[in-house]
Amino acid sequence: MTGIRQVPWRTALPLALVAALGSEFWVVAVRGAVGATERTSEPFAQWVLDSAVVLPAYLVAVVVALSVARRRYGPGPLAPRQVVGSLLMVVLAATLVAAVLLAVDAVVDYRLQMQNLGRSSAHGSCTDACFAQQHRETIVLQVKAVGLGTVLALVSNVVLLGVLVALRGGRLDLSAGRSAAYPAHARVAVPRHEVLRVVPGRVRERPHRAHEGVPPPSG
Amino acid sequence: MLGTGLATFGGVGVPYLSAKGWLSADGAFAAVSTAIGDQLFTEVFPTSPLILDPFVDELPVPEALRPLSPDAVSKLKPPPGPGPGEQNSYRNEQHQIWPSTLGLPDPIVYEIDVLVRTHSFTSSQVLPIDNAGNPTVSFDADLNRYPAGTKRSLPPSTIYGFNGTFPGPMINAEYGKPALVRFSNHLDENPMGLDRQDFGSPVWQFLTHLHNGHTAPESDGNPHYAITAGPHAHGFFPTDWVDQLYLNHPAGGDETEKQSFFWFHDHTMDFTGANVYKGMVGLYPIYDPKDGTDMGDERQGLRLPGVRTNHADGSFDVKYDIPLAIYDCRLDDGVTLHHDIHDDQFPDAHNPRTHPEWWGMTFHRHFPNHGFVGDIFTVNGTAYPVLQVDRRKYRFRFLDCSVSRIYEFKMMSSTKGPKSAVSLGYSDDELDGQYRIPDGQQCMQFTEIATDGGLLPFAIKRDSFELWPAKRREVIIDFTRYLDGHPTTKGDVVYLTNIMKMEDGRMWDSSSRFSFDPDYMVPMVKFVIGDDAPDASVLPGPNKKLRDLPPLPADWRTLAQDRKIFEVKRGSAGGEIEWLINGVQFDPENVARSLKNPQGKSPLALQPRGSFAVWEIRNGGGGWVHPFHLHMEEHRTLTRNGVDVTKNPLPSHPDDRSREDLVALDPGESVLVYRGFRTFVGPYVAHCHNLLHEDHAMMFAWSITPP
Ligand SMILES: [Cu+2]
Repeated sequence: MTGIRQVPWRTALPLALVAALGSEFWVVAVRGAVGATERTSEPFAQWVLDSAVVLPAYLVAVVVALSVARRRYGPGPLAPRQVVGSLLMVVLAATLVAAVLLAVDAVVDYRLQMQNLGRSSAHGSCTDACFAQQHRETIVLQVKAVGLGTVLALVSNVVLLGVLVALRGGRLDLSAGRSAAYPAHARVAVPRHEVLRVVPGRVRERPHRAHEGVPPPSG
Repeated sequence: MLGTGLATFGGVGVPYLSAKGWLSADGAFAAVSTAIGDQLFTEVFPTSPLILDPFVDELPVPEALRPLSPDAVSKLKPPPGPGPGEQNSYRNEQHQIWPSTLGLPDPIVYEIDVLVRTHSFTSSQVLPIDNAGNPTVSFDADLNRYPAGTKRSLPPSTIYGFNGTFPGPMINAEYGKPALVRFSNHLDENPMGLDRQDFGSPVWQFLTHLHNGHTAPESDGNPHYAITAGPHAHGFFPTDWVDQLYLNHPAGGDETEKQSFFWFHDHTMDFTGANVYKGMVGLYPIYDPKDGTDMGDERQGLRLPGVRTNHADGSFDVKYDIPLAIYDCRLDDGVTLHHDIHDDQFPDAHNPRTHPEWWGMTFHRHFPNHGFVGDIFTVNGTAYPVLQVDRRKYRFRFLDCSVSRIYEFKMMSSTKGPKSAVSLGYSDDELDGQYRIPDGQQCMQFTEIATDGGLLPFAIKRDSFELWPAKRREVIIDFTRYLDGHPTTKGDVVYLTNIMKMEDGRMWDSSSRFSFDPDYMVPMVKFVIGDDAPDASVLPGPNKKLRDLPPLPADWRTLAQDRKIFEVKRGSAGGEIEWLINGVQFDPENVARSLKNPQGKSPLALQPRGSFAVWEIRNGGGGWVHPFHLHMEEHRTLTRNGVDVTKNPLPSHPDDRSREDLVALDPGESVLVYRGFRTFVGPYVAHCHNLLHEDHAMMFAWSITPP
């Protein structure tokens, strides 16, 4: 494995942060849809908190993915296809973490929901068969929710991490040291207007990039 | 015009998000969670067959239920009485306050049996259609299949009804004259051999709530009481009986607490929606004879429309004073899967499966995401009725006894008359209501005189008004002239029209207030104006005092610091959506606890008898509205989202300045109410009156303690 000093922190940290925020958004949103009753309050605050708590898990996943990429492609500079390949590994690793967290959520929710059912059953006309059905329906629902949440996390990771890499000039730096030595040809050729379309608000904030060979935006 | 244009534009913009309560950080999550939930919960409903001849069946005008004769009362087994063990068939209860304690006469006694019977919503032929509006196949009880395009007659639907009818009987009550109703459960008897289908209490229980009588717990019919006392169950079982005593005495003996229109309905825990939908609805107008104020005689008191006929047995009827019970339903198409969380409680139905043998009968689905809305709108149990009216003023008492649907009513005229939504090219949810008047124009105003809690302080002129589940609104309609002052003439036709579109039980999709759809005008009652008739009633002007409001203490803002706070929101359990209060499901055995109030306290929902308090009801968001009902006394609304409405109500809720027993909670809204807890002690409840929300745990227990 990669030694701690060889970790490309400047690359891994932002990727992990974005993956955590993006994936946890869906975890919290799925919880709001099918989660146990006690766990659906103040979703925004919950999202911020959860993202902070699980950030290390995403960081580990991203570091592992980057180290696999580094072993495969070398420390760089990476060719465009290698950048895409590395990015995909990061996306898959982050989504795997999201899936595990969704599954953990589902188990916690399922247990709480069964406790609730037991509590209300003291008075219910719900028979044993009816309870068996509620258990089944809850499991089916939670499984479906994990599936849907994983797909949503995957899509959002592709988009968000892709945009992040694009914003950084299409580069993915796998080396542990500084990245200033990267020559321009190592970048994925992301047409400038594509980047601008994703984040139009950044147009005027980044004129210094002009020296990298892309003409400044006209008008 | 501009307003309409802006409102329509608002349908896709910031006002839309704001209207749904989705314009906050938590609201954004709620919106996404809602969208995810929509993908995970199945909600498929049939399209009812098209009623081919609307506005032919007469509007049923209820007549007063006759009380038992003294002889018949003495023959009841056992006769009612004030002693221990005399209140129900379990012999474990006593009436908390017998009328004589308050100096009132002994009660007039009524008998109401809960029966399995049938009901027909229309006598018209129907054309079976699918959700695209195309003619489709249909079936019958013998599983014969009829090809698309075959016109059919509808089979009657099985109902559980008070005295076997829908709506059930109407009791005309009067302040100062207590009434006692012996409710007996006969749901185990099925003399007509009817198919009970797959909804309604599976063990045939009932529990009747007089909404919103100032009533002792044993006569209130609420689950907190039923679980902890009396039947110690969700409701009363077959062969059980219970005497419910309605003192017809205002809270605290206070004249300003007098109300005018109650209704009674089933309240069985977990099955209220299904039982009400299956027919358990009754009407209870209450008149005030004091100084002739509102006694059903237009020559006296406030001179509100009404010509009273007294009967020898003490009951009476009032002409020109008509309750309108509004109810929506959906009829089975024979091809929609029956499947919900209660499948195993109806083993005879063998769900999940389709039920072609139930084609044309009422369809219900408990499997809840948002609620339940029907596509056929009925009034007093009849779809698209006609009423021949005399050319004079009428008083109409509106009640929404639907499971989830909210309506907005307007009086409209139409030159070309009703057209089926199908013939106008609509499909899916746009078919709700079946008919439209595309050239509809408002032609009359309503004079609103009463809300849930009785007469308003002053009448309000309304172009339209909203009617939320369980709410009552009373209006006077003057059939002698139009909005522009022109007199009406014999033979003129005007329509009571619903202009609120509501595609699911979540909230409206369009109404006057939000995203108005000018094409959604569904005629519900056709009024045909007839001959002139004597009319001694007087339309109350804007300065004519009807009834004072109960006073508010000057320091209510201080009181509000120590308020009890209850937040309603969505959760999930048991494979379906659950509706929660303060984060927990309904616990029928224990009173709820308030959220932390501004004084940092989280008190239990207990009030000493004789106390008054400020309670806050908060909508936890998510794009839902909730009609939130508090039992036992009326409240006054103090604030909406922090805005003081005690003197000047907001345009969104112009009749907030009144007594009410339902808080109409818009998305994300928080409402402070002030009310008393008088006369009785014991267990009560408060709950959402979207009945599928109520049945899925959006209820809390509270209690009045001895002083
Ligand atoms: Cu509700």
